[in-house]
Amino acid sequence: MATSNGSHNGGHLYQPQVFTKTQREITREVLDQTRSTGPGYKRALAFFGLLLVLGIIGFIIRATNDGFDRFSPWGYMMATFSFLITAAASAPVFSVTQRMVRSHWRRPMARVAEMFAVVGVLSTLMFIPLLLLLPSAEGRRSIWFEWPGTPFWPDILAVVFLFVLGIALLFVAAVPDLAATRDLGDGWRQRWAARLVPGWHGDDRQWKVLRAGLMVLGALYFMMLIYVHFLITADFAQALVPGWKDSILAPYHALSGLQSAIAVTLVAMYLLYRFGGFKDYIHADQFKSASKILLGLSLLWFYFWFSGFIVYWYGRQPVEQNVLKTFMFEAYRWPFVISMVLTFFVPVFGLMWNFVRKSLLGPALIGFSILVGTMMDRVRIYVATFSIADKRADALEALHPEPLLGVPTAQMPVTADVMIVIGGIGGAIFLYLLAMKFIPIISIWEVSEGLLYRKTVPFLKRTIMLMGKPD
Amino acid sequence: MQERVAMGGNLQEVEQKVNRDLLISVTGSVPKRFWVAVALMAFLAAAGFGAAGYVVAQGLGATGLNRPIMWAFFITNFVFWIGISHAGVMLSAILRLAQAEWRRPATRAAEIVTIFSLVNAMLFPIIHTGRPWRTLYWAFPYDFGRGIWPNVRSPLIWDPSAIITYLTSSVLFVYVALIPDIAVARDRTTGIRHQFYSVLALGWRGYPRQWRLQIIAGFLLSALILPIFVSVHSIVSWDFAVNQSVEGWHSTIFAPYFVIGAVHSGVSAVVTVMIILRFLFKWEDYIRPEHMDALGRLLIVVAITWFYFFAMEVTFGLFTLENAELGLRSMQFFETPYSTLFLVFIIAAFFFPVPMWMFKNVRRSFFWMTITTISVNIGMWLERFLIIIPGLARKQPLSFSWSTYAPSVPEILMVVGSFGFVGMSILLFAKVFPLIPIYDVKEGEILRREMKIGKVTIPAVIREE
Amino acid sequence: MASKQVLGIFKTADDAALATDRLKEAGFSAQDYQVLTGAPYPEGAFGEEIPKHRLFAFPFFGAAVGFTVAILVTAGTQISYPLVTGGKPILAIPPMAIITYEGTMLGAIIMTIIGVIFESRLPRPFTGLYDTRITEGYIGVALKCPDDRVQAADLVFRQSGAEDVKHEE
Repeated sequence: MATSNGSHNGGHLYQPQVFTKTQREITREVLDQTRSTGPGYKRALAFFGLLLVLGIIGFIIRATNDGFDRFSPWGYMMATFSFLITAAASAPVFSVTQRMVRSHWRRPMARVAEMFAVVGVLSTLMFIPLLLLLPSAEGRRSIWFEWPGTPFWPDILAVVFLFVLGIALLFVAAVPDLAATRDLGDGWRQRWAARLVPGWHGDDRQWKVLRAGLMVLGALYFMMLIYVHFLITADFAQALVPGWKDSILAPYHALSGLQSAIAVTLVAMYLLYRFGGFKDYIHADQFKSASKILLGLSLLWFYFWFSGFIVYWYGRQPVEQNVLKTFMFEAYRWPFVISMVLTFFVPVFGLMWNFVRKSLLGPALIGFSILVGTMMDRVRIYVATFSIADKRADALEALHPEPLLGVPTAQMPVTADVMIVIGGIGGAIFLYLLAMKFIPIISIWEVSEGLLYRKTVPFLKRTIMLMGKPD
Repeated sequence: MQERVAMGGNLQEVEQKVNRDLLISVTGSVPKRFWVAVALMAFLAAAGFGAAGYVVAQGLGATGLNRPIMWAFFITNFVFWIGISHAGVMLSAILRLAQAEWRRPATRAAEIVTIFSLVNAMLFPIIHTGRPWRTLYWAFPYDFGRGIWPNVRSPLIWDPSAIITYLTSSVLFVYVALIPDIAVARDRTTGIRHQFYSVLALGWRGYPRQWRLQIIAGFLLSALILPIFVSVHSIVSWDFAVNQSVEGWHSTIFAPYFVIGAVHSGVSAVVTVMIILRFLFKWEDYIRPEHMDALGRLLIVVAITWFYFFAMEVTFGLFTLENAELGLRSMQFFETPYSTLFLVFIIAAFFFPVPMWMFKNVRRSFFWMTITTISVNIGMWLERFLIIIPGLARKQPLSFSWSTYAPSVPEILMVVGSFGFVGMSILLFAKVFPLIPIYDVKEGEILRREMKIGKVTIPAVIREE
Repeated sequence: MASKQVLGIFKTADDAALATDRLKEAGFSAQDYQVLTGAPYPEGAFGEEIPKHRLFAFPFFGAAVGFTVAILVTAGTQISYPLVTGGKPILAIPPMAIITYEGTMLGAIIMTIIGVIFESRLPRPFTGLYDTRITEGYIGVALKCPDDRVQAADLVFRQSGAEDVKHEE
């Protein structure tokens, strides 16, 4: 909200380094960075790979000790899965929407966001055992109204489709860059790229198809993501808590996905800036513009939460009071308070300041805060739900079960849960790091295209920036 | 420096043309059709106010209200007009913050639609109280004599606090943005009109400090007014949603569902109003097909989002399979006359306009945009009707007599009159103040450039940062 | 020595920019003149100083006042007539939060508007030396100069291509 007075710089225009480069230089530099695997990178890869292994061990411990008959042992895994869908699977949407509104500042971050689609490998694998926990929809209250075979096939199809669409989006958006790897790269990357995109020459028709394809895939991905959020909140939360009817939960879940999408992208951008060798490419433009959207989404997050809360608080039916006590004010009070502070208060009171929005570290730290807060939010929703589902097995066998009457005690994580959580998150980072070496993390063609539409020209006594707005 | 892209000519010629065209109602003479439109709207408004007077004099027995349907046309119309009032901020604030170039001719019309629909909306619950003069001490803490205060725990008190905040903010927002344009009118008028504009222009000269403040104010006020806009319709929705006795109302999604519905109907209404103004004042150079195109695209996104919330509301309503909820939905979807109205609503609000807007030719056609946006508002009025009346019409555990609802003639006249009142107010405002922001259009012309890339020339704009 | 205003009216922005340069060469400072335009130009386009302002303090002050008043009203009315409704506590925070929110925002907006008007140095009962052509695309350069330099300023304006030069009577 606050702007420094007299921000004008007396005719000298701030010009990020990337705009002084030629397309050729950009291509060379980004491909070089994609090739390079320094000791830092290798250490990080090994570390997160180790975390993934820990996670798998945690999963095996849980599976052998508890099996898949009860919900409560799997609460933390569900929270982790849901967090991955919320943060990683939602990230490509950030790039999709910015591409749709043709913002120029998105260019260096488009691929950074889309690359999170690769985390879908992990989340899809995690989803399969979770789905095994669910009873059939027959004879119980669910959004499927007793359709045969539900909720299994619609849920797994949706999660798999989301993953496939994400990879398709990532691939299509990377075709021109893979062609550059094919033409200018060497070794296995060159052979790999040549096999993937043998026919890309960049003629008019191909560009046209590429742009249209990105629009269609982007729109489909967005819709599928919203649908997946809806399925998760319906099948893995509301349907398992007798009497819980909360129509805003799905939009709330999806909205926090959009918020985390920006958060996770900003964190990744900062790390790439700091450690990834892309100092010339990543600059304040992205952080400033993304921060404004993030500020709006953080306000909306609170609004969606309050909209649900006030209706329950005012309604005061026993089930409503118990739901509030369970998820927010008694049993899972601390995860709730932490998530409220980290996903609302920190971003809003941080990003309202112009100097924070214009910095690189500020938005990145706030992004990290949002991610931790969102994880806590998912813990309070799913760990609580899964512990109730165990205690109220009757509710999973009746169309009109007695509503939630008591408040369960909070379920603390055991060692295996901690391993699953850090394994899930570490595994996601591991996959991301790995993918960076296959596909350039900075979208070469989009950044190069950006050079065309930005010019500095004299205007009376100062130099100004001219932005091309192609139709 | 002097080449202009859109309108040709040098700076003076462009600015003179903008002044002449956009101040046509103030300094020039308006076409006869303008007065015909005003007369028609005034006639409708008079009929509405006459009917309101009759209802106040006779009591609420003159309406079709009948136990248990004690909220009907008045409240439907209240929610509808509050919805329309959401256009202003949606368009002007969000587009301003997003620095969308095409916003320039649309912002003020949107803000004015906000103000007059809000005033109009406020009248309905006041009349609905039956004794409008008592509203004052129901809504405001002023009864010091007896120490009886408004019940702040009631959403019916949240309503006035939100509406008054929104109305005050919108009026001030419009006024501040009008000052430079009032100065233009001041410089082009004489006599008493000159004095009138001189007082309102506050001595505006147009030096860098004033322009800088004006631009910052645009952003700052947009950012401040957006959270208010969201709160207003949310609070209106809580009039229904916090109530647990009417199944179908007690839904946590109501607030954002109402807000996005309001944006859907409000933006549609602004499109309709812009097209009417274009016709009345011959503003072909300012309200162009590309503006309709952009608004059409925006409407597609808004409409699909609205439909998503609608689908969530229905799905999680049915999800519990409780008899009360099933009964209500069956009434809305399958029992006449509600089923017919439901069909009209969903087609008019979504399935007709949205596929139409997918076509560029439709989005760029003033005729089709008029038809589709009016269709949206017919649909959205029915949406509110279908939320309120079937919800109340079902027999509740404690209702001992129940009946159906048929609107009385005064109620119908008041609904029709409300359109007349808003239409008349907007037109009369346009007679006194420019409805397209003059300085904003001029700024657009100054910042507009072209960029040559290879053999194509694309539009470009100067960015300040 | 008394000072007077001189207003140069320019047909093009380039001429106006040239005039501001020449004014500086003639020994006038950037504080002595103002460029008057009919529409906002990019900041610093005429080489003018970027004005400082404190607009951002206003909404915070307004919000604080609005918040306080709203808390006092909502708490005061509930405490002074303690009637339990719907099983809710007398000082029910969620409804108070709603009204307080509205009050806070109302206070912020009203003070912002006051801030905009105040910081724009309005209202100004006397417009001063002015020309109505400014609102139709001409650029005005209003200079405040000592009596004895009026002629020099007039010359600078005319040499820079002024269409017209007006003097304060």
